Amino acid sequence: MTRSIEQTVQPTKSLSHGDPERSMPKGRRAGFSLRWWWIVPTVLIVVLLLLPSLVVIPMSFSPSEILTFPPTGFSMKWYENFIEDPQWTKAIGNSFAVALVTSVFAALIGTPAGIALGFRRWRGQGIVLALLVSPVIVPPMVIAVGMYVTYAQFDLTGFWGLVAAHTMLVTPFVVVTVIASVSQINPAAADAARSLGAAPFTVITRILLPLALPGIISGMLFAFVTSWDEVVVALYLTDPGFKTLPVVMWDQLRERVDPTVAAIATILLLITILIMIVVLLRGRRRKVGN
Amino acid sequence: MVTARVRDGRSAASPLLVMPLLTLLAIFFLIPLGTVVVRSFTYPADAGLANYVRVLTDPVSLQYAGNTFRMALIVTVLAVIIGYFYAYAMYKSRPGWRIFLLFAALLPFWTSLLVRSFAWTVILRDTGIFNQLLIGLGLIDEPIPLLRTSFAVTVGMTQILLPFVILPCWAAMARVDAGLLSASRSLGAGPVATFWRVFVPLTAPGAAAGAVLTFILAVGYYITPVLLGGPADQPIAVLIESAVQQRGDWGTAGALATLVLIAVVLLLAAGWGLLARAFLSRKEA
Repeated sequence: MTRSIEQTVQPTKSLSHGDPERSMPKGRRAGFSLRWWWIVPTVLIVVLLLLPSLVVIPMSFSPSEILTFPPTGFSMKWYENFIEDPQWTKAIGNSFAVALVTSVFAALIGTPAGIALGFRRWRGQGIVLALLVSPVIVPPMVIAVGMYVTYAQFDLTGFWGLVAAHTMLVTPFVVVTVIASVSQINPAAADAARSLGAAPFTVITRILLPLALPGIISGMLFAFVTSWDEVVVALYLTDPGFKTLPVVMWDQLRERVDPTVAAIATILLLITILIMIVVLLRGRRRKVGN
Repeated sequence: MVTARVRDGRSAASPLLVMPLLTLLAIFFLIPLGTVVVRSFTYPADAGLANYVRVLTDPVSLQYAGNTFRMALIVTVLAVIIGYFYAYAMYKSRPGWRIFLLFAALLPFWTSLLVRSFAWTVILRDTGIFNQLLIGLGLIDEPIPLLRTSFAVTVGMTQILLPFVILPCWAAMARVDAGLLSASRSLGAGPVATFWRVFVPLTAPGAAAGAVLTFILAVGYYITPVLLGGPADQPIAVLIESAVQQRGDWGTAGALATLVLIAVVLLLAAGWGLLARAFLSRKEA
């Protein structure tokens, strides 16, 4: 097979041009991607990826406790159960409050750290970065046991205990996303501002922060979702008077299969899909715009 | 850089900006971890290395350690094979399909881990979809017991950790300079040789980063093995839990936690270069 020299020398950085097969005539490209031995495993992996997220939907509408397949009827009783049971609604409120406060704190302390690590090189940076992201890597059970014994000595449990713990667990996401966006900023912009008399603080607030904003927001989104979903540390730091949603779910699941969990999961799934579609479409539009 | 720098703008980003986070991390994260380590030597007061000796000679904790690392290894191998294949399928697809495949890889990322583990119990139990499907197809007569087996844990954890491999693999593939592939082809290498000798070496760091991350996270898993596994699949985390909650035995819990911590730190040190390259795409100045 021969190829024209233009294809070889083309600068091919963007995604849509990254594949040599892609720049070939249409028929040949389709020939490659439509082989069954290629499509069948891909479809199976898609099923593997999506099935657990989607199976809760039929279950949430099932009238019986046991999910039969195909479903034997339609019922909203698990949704009613969820709305009427104060245990669930309270837990949702608690989780939302913890996740919201946590992600704000994470942004407040994670953003400066991300700026220092992403915009400048300094000695010892690698060690500091490894230390800062370690809460994501250390097994949750080890963290949970340690926080349980330490925080309890200072009566730091319930809402503020969980906020403190989750802030440690999720700040790495903000640090990493801010590093990624700050490292894309052209340092000449900061050089120019400094040369024209701007104080370092002004450079940060007027140049770095606005340009890092997309990174801060996506880091906060990660932080929110992670805190919202966190089980193990929450099991240790919540008390009977203050339980988050994953803790209540865990209590229910260990005893029996409760389709109310499926109803809540379905609602959360719909919210997630909506957010993802918005984010993916916006990302795509930005790429097309460039 | 051609610009004459009158003043260095980078100096605005002082390293001191990490101090607030570092201070809070020391108080709320490092001290708790340190307390666990200290307790492994001081509970009971004259423990010394006794907790470690007991834990390392106890067949039960060795078995749990075996469960943990065996499962982490199996899940990592499966996730890398499946994840690399999937990322390559994304690479080869048209943009529309690529968005869909990316969406399919990200959706589980954003779905609660607890909900997904719970969903697997629904799928895999005797009256679950999987057994119903096999019976419906006439492949089996009686439901196969799948729940509370290693199979269930393997499937559940692989599914949950798969995005951690797919995303770095895909990021590495998207960066591949297509010119190199064309060059390889025009110099006479066939598609298979080009794939194995050009494409795979270029994208292997992404796959390796995904493998390191998957293994480290899998070692710490608790929820999924507890909900899906049988007695022979329970990880060290369960042993730490029961030492604390049922016996208040902080010495044993501390020693187990410290050993896990050491394993994770060593793994992280070994894979740090790969992880930093794959997940922190910093532009070199």
